[in-house]
Amino acid sequence: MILTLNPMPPATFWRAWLSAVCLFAAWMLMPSAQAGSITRVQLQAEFGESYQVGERLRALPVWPVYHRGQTAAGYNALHAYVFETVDIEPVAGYGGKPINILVVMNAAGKFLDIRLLSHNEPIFQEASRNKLLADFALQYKDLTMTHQIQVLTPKAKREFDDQKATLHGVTAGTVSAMAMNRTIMEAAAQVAYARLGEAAAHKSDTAESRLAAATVAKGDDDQYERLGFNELVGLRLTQLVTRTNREVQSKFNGTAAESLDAVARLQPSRWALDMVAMLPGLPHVGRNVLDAAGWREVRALREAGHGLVGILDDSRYPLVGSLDAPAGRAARLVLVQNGKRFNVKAMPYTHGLRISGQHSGVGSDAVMRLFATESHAGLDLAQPVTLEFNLSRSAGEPGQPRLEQVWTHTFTIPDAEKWRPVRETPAWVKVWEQRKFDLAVLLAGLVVLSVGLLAQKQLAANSSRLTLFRVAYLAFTLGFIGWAAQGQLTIVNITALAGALIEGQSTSFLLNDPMAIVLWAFVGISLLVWGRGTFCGWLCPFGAFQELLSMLVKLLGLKPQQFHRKVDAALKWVKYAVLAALTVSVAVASPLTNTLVEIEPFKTSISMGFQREWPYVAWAVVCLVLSVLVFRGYCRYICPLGAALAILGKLRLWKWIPRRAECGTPCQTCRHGCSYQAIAPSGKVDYDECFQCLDCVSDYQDDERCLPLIRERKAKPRVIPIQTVPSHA
Amino acid sequence: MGLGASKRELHWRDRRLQGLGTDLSLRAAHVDAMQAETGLDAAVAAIRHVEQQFSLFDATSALSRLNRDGILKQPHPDFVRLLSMSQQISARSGGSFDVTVQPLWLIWQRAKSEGRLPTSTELTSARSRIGWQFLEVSADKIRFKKPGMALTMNGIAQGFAGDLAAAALRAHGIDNALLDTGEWSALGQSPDAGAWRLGIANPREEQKLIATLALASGQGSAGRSHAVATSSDAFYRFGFDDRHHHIFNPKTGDSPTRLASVTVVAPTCTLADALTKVMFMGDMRNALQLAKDWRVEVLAVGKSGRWLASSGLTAMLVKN
Repeated sequence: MILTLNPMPPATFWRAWLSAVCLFAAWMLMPSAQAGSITRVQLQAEFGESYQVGERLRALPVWPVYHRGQTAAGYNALHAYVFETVDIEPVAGYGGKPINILVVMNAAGKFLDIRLLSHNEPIFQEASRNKLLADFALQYKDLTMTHQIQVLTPKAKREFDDQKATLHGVTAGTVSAMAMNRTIMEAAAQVAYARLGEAAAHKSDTAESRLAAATVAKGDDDQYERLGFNELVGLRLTQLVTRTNREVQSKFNGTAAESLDAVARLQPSRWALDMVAMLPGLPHVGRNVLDAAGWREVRALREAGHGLVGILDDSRYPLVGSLDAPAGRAARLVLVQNGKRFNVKAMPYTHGLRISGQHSGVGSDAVMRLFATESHAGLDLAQPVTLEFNLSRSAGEPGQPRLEQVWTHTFTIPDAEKWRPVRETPAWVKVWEQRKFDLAVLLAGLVVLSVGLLAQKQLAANSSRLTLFRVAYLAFTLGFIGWAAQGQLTIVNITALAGALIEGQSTSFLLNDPMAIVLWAFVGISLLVWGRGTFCGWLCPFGAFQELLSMLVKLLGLKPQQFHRKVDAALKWVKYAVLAALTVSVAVASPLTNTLVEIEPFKTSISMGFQREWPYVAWAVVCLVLSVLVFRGYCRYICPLGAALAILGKLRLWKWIPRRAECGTPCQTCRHGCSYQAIAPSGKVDYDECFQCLDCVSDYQDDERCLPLIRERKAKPRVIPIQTVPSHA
Repeated sequence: MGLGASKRELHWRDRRLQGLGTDLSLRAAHVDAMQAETGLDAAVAAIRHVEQQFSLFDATSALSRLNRDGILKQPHPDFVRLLSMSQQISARSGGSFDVTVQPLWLIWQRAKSEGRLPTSTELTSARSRIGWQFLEVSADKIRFKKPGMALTMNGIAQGFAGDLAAAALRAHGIDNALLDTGEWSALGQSPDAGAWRLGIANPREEQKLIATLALASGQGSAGRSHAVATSSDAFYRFGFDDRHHHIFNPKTGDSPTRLASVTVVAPTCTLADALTKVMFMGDMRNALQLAKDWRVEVLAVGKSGRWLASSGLTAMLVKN
């Protein structure tokens, strides 16, 4: 397919429907639009004459871009790397499919350009809404991959310094914005890491650097709070370790190595050991002291089971992990915990520090030295660790004796348990917390509905009571569930889930919509008990909208028409055909799925309150008018979600609508009273079409309307109550 | 018609890529632009092939597997070919060029990460595991004869990539090209129908040139090629000065001390690349003598910045 780097204009309503009709066969053959599909030639066309797009990197689908000719950076210098986030770190948005963003990032990790390429976010399909997401992405321009990003409300101001950035969010698009943030930042980190790893390996090529490059810790980062260096020292998360030359010399006095360190004797008050020690694997230490890339590396090592000690070393006895035969002076580090000794290995730390320079407490030339135990050696970061410094002196000649003296520093962190790594709250938990109030109201509403439906006999005993309850509940469904809390269940929930399952992607995006989860759980149970009616009749906001509108119109004296039984029976199949077309489209991962689900006017009328382009609004109005003319016409004849629920409703365990032998022959009262035409002339209830309005339950117990009851009443001998006549005395 | 054909315009196409540890560029011309693109595709594929064989970063490369297992069965013919060439150069240079110096890299790198220089014991231990003679090379296997050995092809693979890429272009009928695979290969003529000109950078100030080479193809000699390789002490250093750097003397285990940079012009890029290391071991005069022995041209820069060039190379310098 042809790729353009400009956001795709959404297919217009009419063109889309024309396509749906004409191209049914064609989309069976269409490839999925998910995988990154960019080529060097296409990128070259985008970057134009002044840049040259290089060949795809060997390890990742990333392209280097070079300047042409002379620039300040030199001749034909590297300009940036360009990649699609979906190729590196696909993150599903609200629609269940990854949001794909083109990122142009320079070698220093700065975003030179960001463009939204494609997404499947349901309420951001038309151009004006799509622009909201595209604009959100644009905010990353000029930020770097090491920025700490916070997404605020849509109206909040975008601000940034060189470490932190706050971005304005997207109206009704929190989940989409968070997915975009993650896909950009994670993909950028991985690209930088791979490039850095390879560059380092070509120059250094050590086993350790390769190990580090291969392990990037995944998932949510650890929680921490911002602490300055002095606060870290105050909490004893970082500790100073110092020994004077005099102290060290006194250890060697009287040994063969007494005179091997002249400086120690000449400047006895100066430091022999002078270092800041810390356990950088603890998030409060690592995330505050190390830069973002460094923390990622350290965290990956920790996750791989290494125990880590970090030292900012300014000692005269250089710190080493192992000691084959160093010349002169050295301090070999060994860790001891609960009597167990851990040998450590020096790991090359190639990243920077977050705390350094003026006023920070750490010199700007400080270099982090990293020492690691073997993987899974069992060092516990929360328990005291003894740092054992084996100071050694030798003349540096092979065969000469080496003399060692041991100093120890016990590294105890007060309240160590509270610094243990804890994952940051996953995005979906935050969403659930934000929706606490809505969820509470919804749950209360569901309890009321359950009680009402379980006590259907009592509820329906009085038809005006039933009508009152029904109108009130439908108003709740439309006003609260639909418009206020955005809880319209839709066929998109099902197509997104099916699409994700077919393509083997994570389905965790579903957790981002708590209203839908709770409603679906309730609908799932109600399907077993009552069938599709509970949702279609009581909980569907668009259904409630139609019914309330019909009631209004009825008050004006307009009566909805009913099709003849045979026409009605035929039309009921239309919704199954719609569902079948959608199913095929999802199964072949056709790009037309997004257009096809627009047959549902839910998004237009409920999610977006008619604030949409006119063809969509026109379709929603047509559906509503249809429902005024033919009661609940959309629900009964077109709705693919209703069709799906009708099929799932086959799992229903009870025939809960009470019947009598007389139902059908001779009595037809319920059948004529059923607005949904869900009762056959035989008296049999077609639960697939039943909306659980309880009208027939009401009729069933009304001895003014239910024929058997009327007969029963009439058959009984009329008893005239004897009244006592007051005696006129 | 013959005249018309010879005057048909050449279409130049170019490619950039990251590979062999650096940024590479390829330029090639053909009367048919599509043919130039196809040829360049093949040249890029040749470079990727060399990386797949000889990358130390890629744990799945043939070289990484050899270093890990001490043996490589059924090696790719190109692996055997390059190793045979390097062994011949080692033999003829008395071991001045040696692909088995990788253990030195590892101890120097570890020392650097610990903020020190390697000890004499470490150097002795590493030197005992070095020696091109302890490498067994045959068509069906490559094997280390001593434990703890390791190879690096970084001193010759860029040149080899240049030769393979040039061959790929020729196979597509391309006679005019300039390839930078870390070292340089020049085919035929430049776009202005003249000599390819290459600047030799000052090892102390990279933006400044100490000389410019004109690689003349001469009259009617389309297809004739030159390869130019440079080694310099400025590329990667272990200390704060130019004393310890990425070129090792296999005999001492430390960097050679006298030269700052060596540029060799040779018929093949593989040879040019390897000979820069051979010549780095001596001083400027040794380099000139070696150039005579090997029938190549050289320009050698001393640590002081003074330089000497062989007579053939002097003739290629652009006077200004």
